[in-house]
This record gives sequence, structure tokens and C-alpha cells, in this order.
Amino acid sequence: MVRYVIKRLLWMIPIALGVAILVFTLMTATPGDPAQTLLGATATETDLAAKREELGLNDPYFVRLGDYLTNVFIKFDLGASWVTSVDIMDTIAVRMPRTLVLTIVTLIIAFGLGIPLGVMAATHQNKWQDSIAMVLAMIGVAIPNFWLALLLISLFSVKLAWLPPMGIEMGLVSYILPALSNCTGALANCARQTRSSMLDVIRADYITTARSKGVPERSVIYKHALKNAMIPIITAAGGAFGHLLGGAMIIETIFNIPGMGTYIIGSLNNRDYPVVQGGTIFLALAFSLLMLLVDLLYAAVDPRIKAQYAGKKRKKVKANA
Amino acid sequence: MKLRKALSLLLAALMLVSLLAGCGGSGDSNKTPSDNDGNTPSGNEGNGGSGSGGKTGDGVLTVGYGTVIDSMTPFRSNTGQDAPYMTLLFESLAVLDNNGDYLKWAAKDWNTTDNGFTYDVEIYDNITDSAGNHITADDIVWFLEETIKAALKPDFSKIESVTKTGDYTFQVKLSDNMYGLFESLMKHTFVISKAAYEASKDGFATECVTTSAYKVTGFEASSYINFEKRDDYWQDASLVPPCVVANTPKINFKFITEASQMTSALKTGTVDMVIDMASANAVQLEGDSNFTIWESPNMQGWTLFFSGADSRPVANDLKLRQAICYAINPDNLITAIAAGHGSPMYDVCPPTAIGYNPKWDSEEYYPYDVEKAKALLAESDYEGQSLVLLTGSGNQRMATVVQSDLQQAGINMEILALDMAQLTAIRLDGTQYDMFINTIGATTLANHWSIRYDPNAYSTGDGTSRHDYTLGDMLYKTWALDGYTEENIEEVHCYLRDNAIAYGLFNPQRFTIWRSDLGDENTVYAYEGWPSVASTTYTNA
Repeated sequence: MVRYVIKRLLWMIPIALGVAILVFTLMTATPGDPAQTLLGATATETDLAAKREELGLNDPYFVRLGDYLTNVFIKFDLGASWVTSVDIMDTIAVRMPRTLVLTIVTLIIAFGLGIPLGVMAATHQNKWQDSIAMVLAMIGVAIPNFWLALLLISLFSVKLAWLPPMGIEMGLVSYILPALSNCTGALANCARQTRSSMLDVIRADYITTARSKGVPERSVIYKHALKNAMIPIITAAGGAFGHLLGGAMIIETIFNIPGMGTYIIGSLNNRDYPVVQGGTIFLALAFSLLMLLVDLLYAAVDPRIKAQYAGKKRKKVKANA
Repeated sequence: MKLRKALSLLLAALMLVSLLAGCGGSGDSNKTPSDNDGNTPSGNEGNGGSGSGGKTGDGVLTVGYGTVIDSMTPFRSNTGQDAPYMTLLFESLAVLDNNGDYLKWAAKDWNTTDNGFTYDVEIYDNITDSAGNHITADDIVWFLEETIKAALKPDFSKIESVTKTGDYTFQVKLSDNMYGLFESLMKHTFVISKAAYEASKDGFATECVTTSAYKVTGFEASSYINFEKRDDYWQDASLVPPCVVANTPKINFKFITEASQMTSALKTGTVDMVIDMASANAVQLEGDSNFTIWESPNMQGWTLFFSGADSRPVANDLKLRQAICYAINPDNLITAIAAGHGSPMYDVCPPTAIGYNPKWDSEEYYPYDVEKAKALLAESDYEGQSLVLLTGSGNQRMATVVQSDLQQAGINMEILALDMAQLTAIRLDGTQYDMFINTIGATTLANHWSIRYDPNAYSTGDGTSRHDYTLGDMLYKTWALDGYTEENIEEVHCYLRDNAIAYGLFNPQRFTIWRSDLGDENTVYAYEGWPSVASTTYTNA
């Protein structure tokens, strides 16, 4: 298991390298002159030339790429924002936790509601409960989260005055509305995935056996069936986490949450290359780590996978002997 | 059957949620989270104040504003330079009041001896910043030199030299004696301690030593900036210009980039006031006694510039340009873009620009006339080709209205909508478009002309690649200190209008809205048209 984790961690180096090269190249190819954006439309040709030189934009592509990769992967320095001069790592350290909190709260709501909904749909297949659950899931997928956000603000902030309409100053409470607005897609996917996975499992022989042995139905569903149906749900959770992490921009903008999404999109508009590149590499690494965590969770919920890891170890010991 | 039942139930639930969410009924818009539980929230102070409830009389004025501040650096471009928090951050040598008069602030006096090319300036000898640093002429000279070096503001490039002449005096030599140039430089020269700036870890980006009557108590880029009145402010209140006197003890700015959230923030008491609210959102609060609405003419009207690049159809075809001006109905734009709150323009600049002659408002300025547009089009060299309208990606709606109007007159047009970075990169290249919609931001007509129509300004010509030296000579004569006369200004106005160099579309109203329970007294207005948040007295702030 340890060997597997180390191997996966080592794999993150070429992933980060690939992301860095890709984002650097895309930013270079994006139309728009950072010097012009920084100095404004009224800057003279001389000023622009001087700014381009200062930013290193006159160097050949490979020289700039080499410098950038050296700074990031050898010196572990993402640099400073061209617009604000603030160290990018410092900003990420402040903003990343907020995006993580938003994502985690969103996932808790999505999977906290989505799994029971999916289980209900599967255990009442083709009944009205199933229909309601699946219609809700369809609506969840189709509903635009920015529209839902405004609707929820009108209800819970303006009309009922229960929750703050924006900002993060009230702690976790501040994240409830953003997470509710953001969770519909993940909730719907989770419900559909759970239903599908549960339908496969509840027809299995061991479930019939459990029932015939008189195990209570609740225990059959939640202890025997759901546990075995969790692998695809965990996979969906991992994917949803990555999707929510990278796609928090709209919700962060609406709810005035100074997180990674607003940081990167604002920098993209300003052609602040170091921030976009640094932020994207950071998100890619976070996603890679998350995927590793998901793989490790497989082993935690499924003894067969755990046994596979152990089996590999045993095989190696045997071969050495 | 069961499915139909389920769907009916679901639909009913959705309708209920929609109803509760505000599709009907007015409700109590003043109800806040704090009203609900009876507690007085404390989260307002020092953190941007979200969810803090309505007026609590805690001495904090929370202001919502849409243009974010990424950094507190004093070395910044013209973008956002007149934001309402700028005068709270740094004191400048002069300030512009709402009558359009420049008043001395940190500058004690100035005078010119050679018709506006050389100025001798004296600053007060007792200026200190919020860290206790004593400000001398060295600091001002350093700031001016650094600003010139940073090349972020075009006005500063017209400074030939800055020389210290005493501990509290310095001399500025200008390459141009343009009307209002020196005063504008004074307004944008911040009083900064060189020592404090150099000691800062990131050039004041996140931690700033202020010289105004306020100090910064909290800041997060693009999120909030909080101010508290300094106890050790150096200047006697009686000598401070009325529009920047510090009467409000604490002021928090929250940056709200999502326009529709401005109204929610006001209704929930998250903010006490919103400055520069979009008209479409502001009109939702019209007639609601809980809010006071202040409308003022915008400093930035929308103008249509015609390309001067020879390769474009409009560049040398006056009849076509005039046809376009007649074909556009400003009322359509005012309705569609400003929710009916705006006025047609009668010059390329809005009436707020210093030098604007009010008599122009009653003169004919391309009144909407499709038939006249068609007649002019028939006389032009236009052969039905598709003209390109360049605009920012946020202004597509305006471009669509123009496109529709031109279509009525038989002019084909395609929209080239770009994000700000791309727009900035190509807007000076008139070969890439025929028309360009943009706002006009300038304090004086002279300032605007120098940015847009000076054929010597850029390598490709003026702001639209035009090489009109007749206009150029007219401008050089008019914007000089002794040439800025009503007669000369009139000549430029008529030339720009009759030759359809550009066309003023409309000037949207600017909205500032505050909660009526704020208890504002003796409201003092800033030049930009909104109440000065520092100077106005709020009895219930």
C-alpha cells in the first residue's frame, strides 16, 4: 500500500509538469498583450516595449518556458502577480481553504442527500418514490446554479433573513447558500449513480441469502447492499470534487467569496500569466491528490481491493523467497 | 398515473418555492438576520460586514461598490483612479469638488510664472502619515518620478522635470500647458512616505500606510477594504476641503461584482449604501421608502468612434458616418441599457466634462431619422459590405441595439466583442474595425481630446488610427491654457460633430442608493456625483 501511494505521488510530478507546460503554452497563445493590459490603452510604444522587456515577454518561448519550469519545479517558486506584486503562494494559501470549504460543504450536502435519494429510488424501483427521485435528479442536472443561487438568496436572505446573502464573515453558515446552489448537479448525479449501483447489487445472490436468513430489510440495504455499491459512488464523488473545485468561479462571484475561482478568472481577464499558471498547477495537484485519496478509499470500503494490495505484497515476498 | 401525481406534487412544490422567493408580494425588506434573532451582530467591524444586519448605530458605514481593488498600491493606471475609497487611502496634493473646482489639499499653494509650463508648489510642513512618518518635498518628488517611470498614467508623461527647491517646495516643468493638466496632476499625486513605501514588503499591495484622515484596518483583494478615522491626522479640519473632511468614524467597503447582489445586500442590511448601482437593479428599489435613491449624470457617457484607418469603409466616407449617426436611436439604447434612466448626448463628451457648453443640449445633434440615414447612405460609397463594430464582451447588448438600428437603415454590421485584454490590445488599431463603442472618461474636454483625437499621440495616428492634422492643429490651439476659450471649444465641438469623427450615444444616470434609516445629514457630494462617504454626517451609521 505504501509503495502504491509513493508511486502515485511520484506520478504527480509529470502530471504537474504537463499541466504547467500546457497552461504556459495556452496563455502564451491567448490573444491580448499583458503589457498593454497592465499599462492601459493610452501607454506609449516606448512604455509598452519597456514593460514587455521587464516581464520577459520579448524572450523566445522556450527560454520563458525553461525559466518558468525552473522557478516552479526547482526553486518551488510560483512567482508574484504582475498586477498586484503579491506572492502567488501567499494568496493561494489564503484563498484555497475557502474554495476547499465550499467544495466540501457542497459535497456533504450533495452526497448526504443524493445517496438516500438514490437508495430510495432503487428500493422502490418503478414506484412513485423512484419517479420523484429521478425527476428531481433530472431537474438537479438541468437547473442553472446561478439562477438557483439568486432564488435562494431571495428566499433565505431577503425574505426570511436566515442566512447571509454574501461574504464569508459568518463562518460555515456563510457557505450554506453557496453550497446549496452549487450542489444540485452533484446531488443529481450521485442519486442516479447510487440508484444504478444499488439496482445491480440488490439483485445479487448474497442479498437474497441475507434476506432469507431473516436479516432486517434496513440492515440488508444499508449494511450489505449499499456498502458493496459504494465503489462507483466514491468514484463519482471524486469526479464531483474535482469538478466543483475547478468550477467554483460562478458561485464564488455571486456570493462574493474570495476563493481560487475568482482569483484565477480575475487574473485571466488581466492576462496575469503567473497567477493563472500557478493557480492551475495548484488545482491540478489538488485534484491528483484527491484522486489518490479516492483510490485509497476503495481499499477502505472494499476488502477485496485491500486484499489485492496485500496480495501484491505477498506475491513479491514469495518471489524473493 | 402515479408518475403524473408525482409530477403534480413536484410542480406544486416548485411553485411554492418560487412564490416564497419573491415572485409575489413585497414582504418586509428591512428584515435582517439580526432582526430575526434579536441579537446585535458584531461581525461588521473589521471584516467587511457581511450579514451584519441593518443599521445598528455602531459607527460603521458599510458601502457596496462594484469595481474591485486588487492592490492598494499608489502606482496605478487611470482605471479605478476615482473610486470612492481612493481619497480615504491616500491624500493627494489637490482634490476636485462637485462644482468642478480643484481645491488644495496637501498642497499649501502653487503658482505659475510662464503661462502654465512651470509650476512652483509648496506643501504643508506638518504632514505625517498613519505610521508617523514626516512628509517633505523629497517624498513628493520621489512619487512623481516613480509615477513617470511606471508609465501608468498618460498625464504624467507630460512632466519634463521635477526639482526639489526647498524642504517643502518643489518645481514642476511641463512639456504642454494643456488646460487642467497641472491640476489633474496635483489631484493624482499621492502624498506617500518614500521610507514607508520602501519598507513595505509588497509596495503597499496588501498593507498600506495612509496619509489621509483614515487608516486601513482590513483589506483583502477584490473583497473588502476597511477604514478607521485616524486620531493623529495632521491637518486642522477647517483647512481640509469640505468634500474630504472625515466625519464618519469607520467606513467599510465591500466589493460586490455580481450586480444583482447589490439590491440583496441593501435589503438585508449587509451594506448601508451602494455606490454606482446598475440602473436595471436600481429601478427595482424605486418607490420603496426604505431606500433613498440619488441619481446623477454619469461622468462616462457612451460614444461611438469611427475608424480612421484608410482600409476601412467608414474612414473617408463622411456620408456613411453621418448616415450611421442618424440611424441610431439613443432612446432605444437608454431603454435597453439604462432602464430608461439616461439622456442623449450632444457632444462626444457628457455634460459633466469641464468645458462642456450647456447650450449644445438645445442644438441639433444627429436626431434619429431613418429616412435621412437612408438618403445619406444612397449618397455614400457604401456597397452593402458588413461593417465591424468593436466592443467589450460586457456590452454586447448595446452593440445588438445599434446593429438592429443600422439594419433598419440598410447598413449591415457584425459585432466583434472581446474581453478587456484583447480589446485593449487592438483598440488603437483602426484597421480591425469600423466602429468602436467605448465610454469616455475625462475630467475636462481637453483631457478627452488629447487621449482620443491627437494625431500625433500614437504610432498609428489618433485613438482610432486617424491622421487628421486640421483637427490636431485646432486641438493644440484650444487645449492650451490661454486658448481654452468658449469660441475655440465651440470650433472643436462643431468640427467633431460635422465631420462625424465620433458620435455621442447616450449618458446613463449613475445611481447611489442608501438605506433611509442611515440618517444622512448635510450630505456632501463628491465630484463623481455620489455622496462623499467620509464627509456626509450619518446620525445612525
